[in-house]
Amino acid sequence: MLELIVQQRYYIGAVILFTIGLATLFLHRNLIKKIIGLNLMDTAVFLFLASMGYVEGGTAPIFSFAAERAYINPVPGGLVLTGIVVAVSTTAVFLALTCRLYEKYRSLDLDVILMRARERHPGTEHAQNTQV
Amino acid sequence: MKDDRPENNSTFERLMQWAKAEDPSLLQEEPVDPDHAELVAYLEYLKKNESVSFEEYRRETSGEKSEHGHGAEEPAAPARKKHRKPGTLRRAIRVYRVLAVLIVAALMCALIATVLYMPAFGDPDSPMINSVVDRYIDKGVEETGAVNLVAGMILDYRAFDTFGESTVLFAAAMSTVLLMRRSKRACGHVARETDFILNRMGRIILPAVFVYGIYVVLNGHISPGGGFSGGTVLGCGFILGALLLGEERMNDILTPDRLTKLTVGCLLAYGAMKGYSFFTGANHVGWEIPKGTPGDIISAGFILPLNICVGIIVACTMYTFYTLFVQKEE
Repeated sequence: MLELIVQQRYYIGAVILFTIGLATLFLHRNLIKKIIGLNLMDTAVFLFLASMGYVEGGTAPIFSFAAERAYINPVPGGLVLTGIVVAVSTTAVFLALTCRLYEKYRSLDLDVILMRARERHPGTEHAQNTQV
Repeated sequence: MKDDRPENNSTFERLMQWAKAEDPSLLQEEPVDPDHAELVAYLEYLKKNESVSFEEYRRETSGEKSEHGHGAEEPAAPARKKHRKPGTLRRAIRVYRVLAVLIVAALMCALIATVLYMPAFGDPDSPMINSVVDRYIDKGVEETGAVNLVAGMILDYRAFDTFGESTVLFAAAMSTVLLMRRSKRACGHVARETDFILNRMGRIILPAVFVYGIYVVLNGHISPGGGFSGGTVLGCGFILGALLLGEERMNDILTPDRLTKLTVGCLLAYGAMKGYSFFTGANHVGWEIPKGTPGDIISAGFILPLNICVGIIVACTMYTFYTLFVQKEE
């Protein structure tokens, strides 16, 4: 069992990182901290993908004519590249939206934002139901 | 902020006043929801003292209340009694937090159990290594001309995917511009004094950053790197330049208009080049771009210009993000 855990350590690390990010997303009311949690989850997925592509004794997939070598799997590398770019883009959009929310409600606390939004627009009662 | 608030008679205003104990007479006619009042008082309290737990807050306010009981002239004392009984909100928050932790812990256990059953880390016979990967590794250099197999994959075999990715980046930059531009004030009057150490060190580092970024972009097909990583380095160079020269001078060189045009031009060039390859390749026209000798700087067909396009897009987008958020800060 312990051997198995040591062998799969990168996957387990990715899982732990992912759940830390998810807990941050659930438990913090500050929007910036929620965004940090989302980024942690992104990073966990990248770690998972990158470690899935590793092959024992393989080198980076840069072709060389000199010797017959084993290469790691290049497909997860490309996927992680895509993922990083999308993560950066979404983070920028999240931060911009947070800026606008702060401008309007003068707070980063999700509870305060929801409360003030409800006070200002009393018609939207569904906002009450989404808030726990 | 003040102008878009309604008149003084909204419930929220009254609650805020009540929370500040400004005018308790307003409270007489309207029954207060104890949960809401508690939340408001708690949030107000949180704003004053950072990171206080709810338990501590309860204890302190209850102590405060018993102290206030002696002072007869305290106006908010009768109103405060109302939310002394614990509201359902407090319980709901506690249940929510406990539930969240439980769910996350359960998810972690389930995922770890799954991960232990996955193919072993580094296993060469795992089902991940299938015929697609073998094809990329065996025929990649021959078919794309790029020594860097990842570059060959993302800019030749899967170039359409990368095109979409660049479009996502562009769309994110544009939506950020839309969201942030409205608050554009007459900024730039504050001539920020650059730090002495930053100034001296930056002037030494900046050329190296640019040269390295260009190197990474241009060598994307023969060594690790490529448009995305090199573009990020170039974007960092632009940001460092903005920090050194000040916003105004950098804005003269790279106006937002010029950045947008550059990005759109590169996206169009990317689309045109890939469209050409797809069209001629699918119809067997045969006007193929010569691949050159693998390993040379001018080789691999369209991969080098595509890397340059992607690098420019990424650098411009990074710099756009930086300028938008810096404007916001002022």
